[in-house]
Amino acid sequence: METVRAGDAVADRAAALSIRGVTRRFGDVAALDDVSIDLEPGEFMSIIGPSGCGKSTLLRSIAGLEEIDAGHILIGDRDVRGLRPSEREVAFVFQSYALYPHMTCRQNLAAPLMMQELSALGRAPGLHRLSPRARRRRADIARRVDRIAAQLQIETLLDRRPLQLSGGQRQRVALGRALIREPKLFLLDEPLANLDAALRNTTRAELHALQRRVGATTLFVTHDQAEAMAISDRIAVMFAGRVRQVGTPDELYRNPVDLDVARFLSQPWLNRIDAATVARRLERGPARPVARIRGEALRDATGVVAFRPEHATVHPEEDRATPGLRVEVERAEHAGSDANLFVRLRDDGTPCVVRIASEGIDDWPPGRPALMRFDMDAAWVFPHPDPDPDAAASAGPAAQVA
Amino acid sequence: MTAVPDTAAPAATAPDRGDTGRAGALLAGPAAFLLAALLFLPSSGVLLLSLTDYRFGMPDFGFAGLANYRAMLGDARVVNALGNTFLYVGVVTPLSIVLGLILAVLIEAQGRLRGLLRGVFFLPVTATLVAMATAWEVMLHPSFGLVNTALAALGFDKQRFLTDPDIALWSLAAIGVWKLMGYNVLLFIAGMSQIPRDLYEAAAIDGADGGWRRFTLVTWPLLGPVTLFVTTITLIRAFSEFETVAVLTNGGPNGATDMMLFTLYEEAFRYFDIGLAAAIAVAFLGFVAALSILKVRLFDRRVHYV
Repeated sequence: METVRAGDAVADRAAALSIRGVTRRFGDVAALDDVSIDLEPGEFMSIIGPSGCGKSTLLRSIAGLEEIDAGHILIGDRDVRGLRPSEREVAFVFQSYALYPHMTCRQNLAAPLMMQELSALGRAPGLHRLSPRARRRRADIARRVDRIAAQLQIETLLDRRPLQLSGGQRQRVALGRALIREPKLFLLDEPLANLDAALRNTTRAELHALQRRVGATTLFVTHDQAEAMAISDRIAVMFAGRVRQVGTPDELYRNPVDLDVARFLSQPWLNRIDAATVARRLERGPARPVARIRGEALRDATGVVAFRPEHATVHPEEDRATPGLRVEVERAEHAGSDANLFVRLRDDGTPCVVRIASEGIDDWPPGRPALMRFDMDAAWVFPHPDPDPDAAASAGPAAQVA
Repeated sequence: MTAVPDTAAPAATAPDRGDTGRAGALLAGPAAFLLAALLFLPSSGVLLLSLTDYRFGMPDFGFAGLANYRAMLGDARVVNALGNTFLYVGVVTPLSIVLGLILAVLIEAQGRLRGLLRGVFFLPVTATLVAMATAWEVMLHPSFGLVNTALAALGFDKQRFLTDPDIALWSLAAIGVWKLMGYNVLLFIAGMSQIPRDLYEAAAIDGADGGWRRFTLVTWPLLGPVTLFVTTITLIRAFSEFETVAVLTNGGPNGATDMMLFTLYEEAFRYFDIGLAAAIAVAFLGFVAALSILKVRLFDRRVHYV
């Protein structure tokens, strides 16, 4: 097997990925339920969703670590269903990194090449000297290890074992082991989850830059929506084994298809208020303006009005020039430049969050009555998620962010 | 144990040091007492006895210096037993480890019969050895034993497994392998269950998705610590073989199966030469201690990959 040499030639090798109707059942539970996603060559897509939504199972099915019960997976134009993991030309980075603990980093990086390009004789320590071909291949592997190490700036770590490295260093070695095969498809299963917060932010930027440089089609699984928003070309959102929405970070943020998706992309949570309550409150006052959300009259809508904390504002109770929802402040959480103000609706006790500048935190002591307004063009009306709207409204913040 | 108060108490809480130390001593006390009473005292006693000419039942004894050790090295019986022991250990240890490993890998690859197979191979460990030895005696009986019946049915000559001087030691070695292998199988299975699953998955993606490749890339290296432990414990247990000799051959025929611990026993409780027996015991202790030190000093660091 002759390998592509030049770094920029790798981009040509990047393959499209087409997932068509993939289903995977564990007993009665469908971990993947008719999942279809298409990736352009070289695209960086994240899969996000709550724990147990099937995102890791999907990634593992593509790699061949998990069997699928129905559907097809095409890498390039090759159907890889039934192929062994090593035959799929994919690279996989595990959350635990899964480095071989008994090998130095150099040996870890070389392992995929040694396994795929050398015969048993060539792999045998010492014996490879007998075969000129094995010697040449080994020299070639050593060169490629050095090159990937230089690219990831881990040259000084090459002779250490994984357990002697920090988490960030291990993560780089794991990336190197994945990249060294110049894969057509790059699969990352929460590779940043074990890093501390500061390192996670720099690493994700590096990861993104690296992916751009290498050009490999990349599927990145994470449960951290901010991470996905930051580095993806597109994001697929999964719930309960199904893909709910695929789109650019901006599309997802502005036009979520349903309440779940909107909720998942909101920090700390999505405000949801019964549409009738909102209409009653906002169409008050001398002018009795018709409240419209995205052009549609609220009084005709049924369901919940949803809006993000960053699109809401609080005002003193006396400020009645424009109508607002009457709330009472419960508490505030400092979050650096911003703060989250937790309030409760006077009408029905619905909990809401408002993003305020952290300088204003002292203006809103617990118990202070206030008026809450929100940007009607940044809100949505979704059908009630639950047949019983009262149950949904009183579910509370814990249930909403889960 | 003395390091506990040193590391646990920071300098700032100096007044607490004494308390921590007392608490530590108190907690370590029972274990230390038992160790001393059951291990160090008897061992020192044996060491002292090995320097005397004490004989069982005699009213007094005198200092003999190294005479017992000289006698031990000059005693044809002891030298013979030592040779037999080394041969036995040299055969039983590698065989029971390699077979144990192979069986463990095969059993783990098995689906439904896994539990049953584990039980079958672990049986020799749980069963009373004397009873098992008796069962072997029946199996190996020269005329109506199961093994000889099978040999005869296949057209081979019947063998006197336990009374032929050329065969007896090998028969005991075979029983020893059977006995130690089960324990090793279990230890290897336990070791394999500790290997992270994602290492196997990484190996599958890297091109080692089964068989020999996967074994050499993941299973065998990660069994390193277990293998070291298994080797040490198997060596020690093979060295201390006693029951099969005592029950099946009594060291015979003509000393062909005489081994170290059996000689020790006979010198002490048949010939009442406590001094010589103690010297053998000290030598035995030396072997075991040397093995343990070798394990810790030389090999522990190489298999834990830090």
